[in-house]
Amino acid sequence: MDATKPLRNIAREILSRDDVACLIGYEKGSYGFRVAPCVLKDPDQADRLVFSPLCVHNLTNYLTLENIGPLAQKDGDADKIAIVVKACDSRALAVLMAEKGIDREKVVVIGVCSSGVVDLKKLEKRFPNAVENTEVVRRNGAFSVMYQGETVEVPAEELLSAKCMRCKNRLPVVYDELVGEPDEAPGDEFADVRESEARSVEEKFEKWHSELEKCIRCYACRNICPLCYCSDCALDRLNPQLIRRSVNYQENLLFHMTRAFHLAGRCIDCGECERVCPQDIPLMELNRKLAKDVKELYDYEPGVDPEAKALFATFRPEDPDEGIM
Amino acid sequence: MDTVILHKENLNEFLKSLGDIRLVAPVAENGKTRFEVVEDVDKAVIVLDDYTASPKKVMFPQTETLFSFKNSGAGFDTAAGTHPPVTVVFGIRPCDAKAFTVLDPLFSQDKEDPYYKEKRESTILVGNACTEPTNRCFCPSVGGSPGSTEGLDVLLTDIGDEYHVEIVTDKGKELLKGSETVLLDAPKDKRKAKEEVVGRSLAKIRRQVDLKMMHEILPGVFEHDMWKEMAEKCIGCGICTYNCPTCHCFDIQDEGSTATGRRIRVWDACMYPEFTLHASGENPRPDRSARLRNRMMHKFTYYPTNMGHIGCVGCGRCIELCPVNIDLIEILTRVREVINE
Repeated sequence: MDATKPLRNIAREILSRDDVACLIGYEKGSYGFRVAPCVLKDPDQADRLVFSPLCVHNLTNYLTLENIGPLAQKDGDADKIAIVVKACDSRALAVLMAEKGIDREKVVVIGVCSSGVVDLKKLEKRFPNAVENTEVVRRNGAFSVMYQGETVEVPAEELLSAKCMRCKNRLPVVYDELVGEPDEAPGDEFADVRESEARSVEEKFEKWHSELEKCIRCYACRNICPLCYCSDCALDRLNPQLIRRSVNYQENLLFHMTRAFHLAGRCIDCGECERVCPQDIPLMELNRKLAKDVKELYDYEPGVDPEAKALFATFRPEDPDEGIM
Repeated sequence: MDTVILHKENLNEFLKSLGDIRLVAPVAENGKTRFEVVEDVDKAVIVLDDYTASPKKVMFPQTETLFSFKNSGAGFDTAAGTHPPVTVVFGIRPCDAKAFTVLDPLFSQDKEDPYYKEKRESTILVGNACTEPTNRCFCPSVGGSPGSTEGLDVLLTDIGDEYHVEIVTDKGKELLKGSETVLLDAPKDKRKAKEEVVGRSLAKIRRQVDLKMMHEILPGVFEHDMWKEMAEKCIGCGICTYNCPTCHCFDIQDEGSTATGRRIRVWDACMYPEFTLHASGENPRPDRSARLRNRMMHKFTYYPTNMGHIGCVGCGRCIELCPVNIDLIEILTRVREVINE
């Protein structure tokens, strides 16, 4: 399915509305396989939009970033923001709405049914050094990759993002407009988490010591995360300075553990933190472990039900004590 | 300049022949290539065909102790940080070596920075010419070359079964004194072989940007809306600055207690709001567009004006690693369009 054309038509209409300030979507990037987030303001710009398996970003992050998001918008006629979301991205919207981080009324949601996005690191390793803009198209069980003037067919599972291989539902949970129809999703049994749980404490300690030691604290994981949206992050504070500025295993551990725990019951498995990490730290392993615990302890999955309250805003007398640290 | 030949199978012998010197080289560790201290040449996996790692931290560590302090009751006793041993950085790319020549005037300008200077003086840079430049590389646009010796003491170029070894400085000459057994005299045609390799590399570099008069053009677009458009997708992380071989801003912090602790300097990034946040709460660079603009202005106007060098060596790491495809080449191309409009 080519979603680009219907997406452009919908976008053109939405951008013509008096109550919509801008539309956040994807456009072709500056080189190779790169696709970039874009903010459109005019119906004439709708033809810049694209949608393909290269649209990896979770754009909902922008709704709460300074100077774009509804939180920063002044009241007026054009006080709504339109946004393109995949199913996983829409779960971030659902959590943001449940937490009152954004107002549902202020967002026009264009849901796109994606059959899975590629893992750019895998793609660029296999097809290195593409300079001209290059396309990737999903055809049933394979990706067609245009590379050096030729079309190469690659079995989907060789390039798919890990999150897409365990996707639970390809229909966005929140939308005003919908592009395409959802495929059947593979489903998630937390097989990866079970595998890491089986390791000994010593093995886990050694692994995370060497992983977290690599962190350079660029905060890309935090800044790309749609659910890390505090305008004043406690970890940036100087007084009290909860985390020291020195970059070493100890402080890095504190940073990542604090962040992971703040995302317990909230992380919707968009995988953005891990995608952007310049040091290839498998951050999703931390988030996934907590997601599994939350599911097992409280039978709760963040973002799947847009009507549900946030996990930390609910209490049931039968809640187990194991979740209390 | 002296030129010698090193057979590839003698590489480890060569590295061992450098003697009792700290060796820092790009090693594969945990799926990532990083410049690290190599204790045992035979055991380490030295990766010479990877372009990801930058050795900036050898001269300018991310976290550096300036001194430690202890309250003795009668006052503070201070102790200097550690002194670096003589170090060889092996396998550094020409762009990353050039980056140190960009940083040199900054750290010696008004007052010599002893921490940088000490490491700079005790470090010998042995380069590895680029044979497979990537799609992010654009060093020729900023006056570099895949085979440039600028900033290097020795440059190795892979010319097939052997390395063409150029001894650029006296420091380099001194370093190779003990390696005579593995270094062979270079016949004249080897020079040509090197030039051919560099020529092939240059042909592979396809991204470029026109920087003619850029330092004068940029101030003319300071107030233009283009910065807002370009920065809308910026998430304000530190990837571009922390992976840049020429970015050099740092913060100074005291860590510990009033009884004992240390004063450190640690990398800082101009893309963070906190970077320019005043104690009053005022922030002169209040949003991401002001920060992105400053980063460009700093590299292409302020730095060349004040230090005589463009603050960019064309390594393209900021382009490759940016999570949202903010592309320095695209920005500078847009600047020229705006001026011509």
